[in-house]
Amino acid sequence: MFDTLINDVRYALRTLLARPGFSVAVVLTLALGIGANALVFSLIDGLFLKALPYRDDASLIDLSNRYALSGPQRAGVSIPDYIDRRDGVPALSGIALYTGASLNLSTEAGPQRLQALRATPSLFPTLGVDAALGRTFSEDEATIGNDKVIVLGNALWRNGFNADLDIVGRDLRIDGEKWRVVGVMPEDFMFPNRDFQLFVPFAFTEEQRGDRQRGHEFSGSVARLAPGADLAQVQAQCDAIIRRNAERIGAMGADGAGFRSFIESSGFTVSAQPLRSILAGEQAGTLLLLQGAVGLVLLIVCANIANLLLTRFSSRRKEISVRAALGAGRRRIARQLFLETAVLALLGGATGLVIAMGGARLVADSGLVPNWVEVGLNWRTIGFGFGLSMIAALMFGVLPIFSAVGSTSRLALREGGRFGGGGRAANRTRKVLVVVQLALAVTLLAGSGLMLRSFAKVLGEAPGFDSGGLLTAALTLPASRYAEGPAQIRGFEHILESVRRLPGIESVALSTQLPFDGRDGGASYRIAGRDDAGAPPHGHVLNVDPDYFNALRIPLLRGRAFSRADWDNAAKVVIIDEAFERKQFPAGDAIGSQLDMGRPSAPDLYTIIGVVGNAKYADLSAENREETYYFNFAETPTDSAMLTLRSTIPPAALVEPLRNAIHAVDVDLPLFDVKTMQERIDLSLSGRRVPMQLLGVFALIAMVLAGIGIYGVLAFAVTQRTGEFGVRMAIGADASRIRQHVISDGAILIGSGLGLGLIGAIALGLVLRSQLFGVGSIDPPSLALVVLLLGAIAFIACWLPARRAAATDPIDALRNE
Amino acid sequence: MMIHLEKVEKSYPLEGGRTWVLRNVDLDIGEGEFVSVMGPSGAGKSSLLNVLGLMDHDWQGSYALDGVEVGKLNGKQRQALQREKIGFIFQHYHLIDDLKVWENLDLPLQYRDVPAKERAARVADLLDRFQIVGKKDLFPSQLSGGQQQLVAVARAVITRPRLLLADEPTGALHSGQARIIMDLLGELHGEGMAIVQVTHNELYANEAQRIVRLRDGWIEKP
Repeated sequence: MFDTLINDVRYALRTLLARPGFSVAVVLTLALGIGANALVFSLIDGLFLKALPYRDDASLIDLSNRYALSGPQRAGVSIPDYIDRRDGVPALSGIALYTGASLNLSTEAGPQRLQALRATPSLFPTLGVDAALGRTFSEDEATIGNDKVIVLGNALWRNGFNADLDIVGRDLRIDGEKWRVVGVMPEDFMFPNRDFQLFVPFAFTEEQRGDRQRGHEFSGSVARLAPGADLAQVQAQCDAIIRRNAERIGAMGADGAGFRSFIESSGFTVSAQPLRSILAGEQAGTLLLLQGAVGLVLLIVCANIANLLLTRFSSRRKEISVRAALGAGRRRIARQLFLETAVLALLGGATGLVIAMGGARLVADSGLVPNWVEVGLNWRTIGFGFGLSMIAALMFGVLPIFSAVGSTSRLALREGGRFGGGGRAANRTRKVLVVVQLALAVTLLAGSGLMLRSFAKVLGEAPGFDSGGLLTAALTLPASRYAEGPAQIRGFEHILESVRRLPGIESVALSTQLPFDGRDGGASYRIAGRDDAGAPPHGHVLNVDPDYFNALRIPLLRGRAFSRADWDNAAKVVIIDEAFERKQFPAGDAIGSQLDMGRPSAPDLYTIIGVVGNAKYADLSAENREETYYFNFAETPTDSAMLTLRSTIPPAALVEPLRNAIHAVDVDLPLFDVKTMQERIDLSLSGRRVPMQLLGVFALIAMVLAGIGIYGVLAFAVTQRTGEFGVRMAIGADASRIRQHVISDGAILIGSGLGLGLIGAIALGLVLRSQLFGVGSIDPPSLALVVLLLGAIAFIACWLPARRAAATDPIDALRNE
Repeated sequence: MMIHLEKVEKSYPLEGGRTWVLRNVDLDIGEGEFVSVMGPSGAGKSSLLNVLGLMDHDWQGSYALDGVEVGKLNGKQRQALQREKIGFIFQHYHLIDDLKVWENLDLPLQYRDVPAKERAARVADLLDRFQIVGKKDLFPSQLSGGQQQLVAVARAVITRPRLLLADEPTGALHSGQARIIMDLLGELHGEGMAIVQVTHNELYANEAQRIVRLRDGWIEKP
């Protein structure tokens, strides 16, 4: 038994090597299908299946605040919220609070801006990870005055400090102060993504621990479930704390009552979700969609290879019948043929995995998945690739093998002067497979067309400002030299003056955020004088200087913009956008009204001085935009700001002059996140662009394979029917009749494929509906284009064999029969 | 005169010279004449039939078919002449497998743009005359060899050709079936159709009015 199997394998290899063209065609076709599937699977694997670099990662959860009634549904956590949950939720065995921070490291080569994670010392034990070198923070180091210690991320240690083994204990100069390195994290560690290069302690002031800090939700929180505990218990215990707090604080006068009312009306609670689902982001649906698309590509590939095999086995019918005549049973012949297909499938799978790994790295770098996701070969991806290859081998092998084995008994009888040698059933199968291929290709192309049209519509959306000619950058003033508001204002004034002197500058603006900078700032507000019951409305908020609207060319619709006097006097004024006005002041009486950002006992009033046009800040396709309001930067200065430069020279040429202008003010000030506004908009679209591009590539593969499929079937049919064409010519058919005959055969296949494909396209459109913008799930122009395009390709694929058929020499044809 | 061949020659280039398949062939066949062509394999019988049937135009000499000088015609004119004058019968029937019996008969008429009504009438006539009405909806693979050749003869004559070329029409049939086909050819000849049959069978060859014998491309002198 084993001997014969070895012989069969040897024979299979020899047979495949004897026809290298056929073997290479099958292997490459399959490699495309397996490669596309393994590519998408490796992304899904990295995002959802591969263990996170933490101990028992399934027990880790993200714990966020949630405003069930008023939104947002997932907000940050305040320091007192964290302390409550640390001390009062037995369902948690650990919890940590963290927030991002920009630190400026002074090096001999100049200042370097580092992205740090400020975290409570409990972060590392909660995640179950220890330092690879040195140690993590102690609780003592999370107190004001003792917190100038650093744990380096592995990449920073390797790239910034040449993997110096003596780094622990060394002092670094950060923001003008000495910070001591106490440890280095392991190579695979990241939290919550790879943006964060180092970790510093999160030390709380007494004020930050107090009830007044509730609502200052600028931090994230990660926790570990206690053994045996579940999310529902965490939810219930957190809600109990919220109820107790509402009662306790509600009894503390008017402000307390207001707080209680807010907690109740906003539906304040917690959102406890598995950490992985939060780290994975929102691409799960997109990846599943892409996996579906590559599944269709694999079906097309299988149909294509099945056709190739039908053709191949048909031409080996004599050999197969001889084997049968020599005593080989059907099972034995089937085994031999399946071994050949299995060898092809394994070779195709291996080649596909190589393609997948190259492609997956490209896709991972494109921003479709978070940067912590590592794609690469592992046993799951390899298993998936080869497992899928074997399933594919069954899919494309079964029909041709049955067809070949089933015809052995008829072969002796079939010798004679009839046409259509491969058998009517095999021909029918071939035709059905081509129709299936075409239908799938139409479906994929139409889906891709929808995504493309949708993307074009998004690109055509006006952002509400003029994005051309804008260079933007972020900078953070070191706290050691710019600790308080006045110092920060002076620092920024010097910077603005220095930048304005650059050649070609039309305007320079300062703001806490910019459109498409990835930051998200929001706050609740009240309209002064209105007795609004329930949760206060929530809007997008940022602080800007007097030149902001001018630099971005956001139109002023009513009232006035911020003035130099507002800046100098730190005036408590606010500008709202059109969406805000429409929502809160439909009568157009916003100017002069006031926003109250304080508490009932201590109102904090800002006078509305102007209304500006709506600008999009996060999503070019956002239609139901949240209201935005702008405060005077000088009134509430911060140490971090975004710079926007509008110039008459190309923005990219301004980067170095801008850096020099900043260093002229302070050599320790690094400039970071330097991008043109157009680059920011492009980046914001990667979630749409990359899936669209991938779907496009898959659709193109499908289209080419479908074209090859039609050509293959008709070309084979023409070869088989050469004698028949000779007879047709002998009884009076001319070349054009023969051509028409072949083309009309193809036209039936094309028509059926396109018709079925349209049904598939409509179904796919419905699946894609949620991802579309500006186009319906049934889009006649893109469907028409797809039908025309595929129809044209299919026609060419018909025309070539038809031309060959028309050139048949009847004498040769009949002599060979 | 239905066929007039004068000094017709055909050869293939081959390494070291040419291979001749027809040498200096002079042949006249009258209207309504029944001629058998005989000779050993490779003597040039089929090549002669291809020239006569206008399927081969790569030859030298002169050939007049029903008074039309074939050598002066272009491809389209040659095909038109072939459609008008000639019907073919092959040794292996060469029916089209995917078409039913009546569709096989209908096909030559379609190629001649005969209106559908007339086609239906002619097909019905022939099915009746050849006594294969009961088989009209069968596929060729469902017929015996003799029945298939019967259909092939019907297909050859449905266009009412003046010349019927038959390449070993009984070669694949047993004697009973062959007899029916030969009787049918005799009947068609009796109706005035000129017939040229290639055969290896002396008995059937003798049923023609004249036998032309070929050897190495030459017509043997009687």
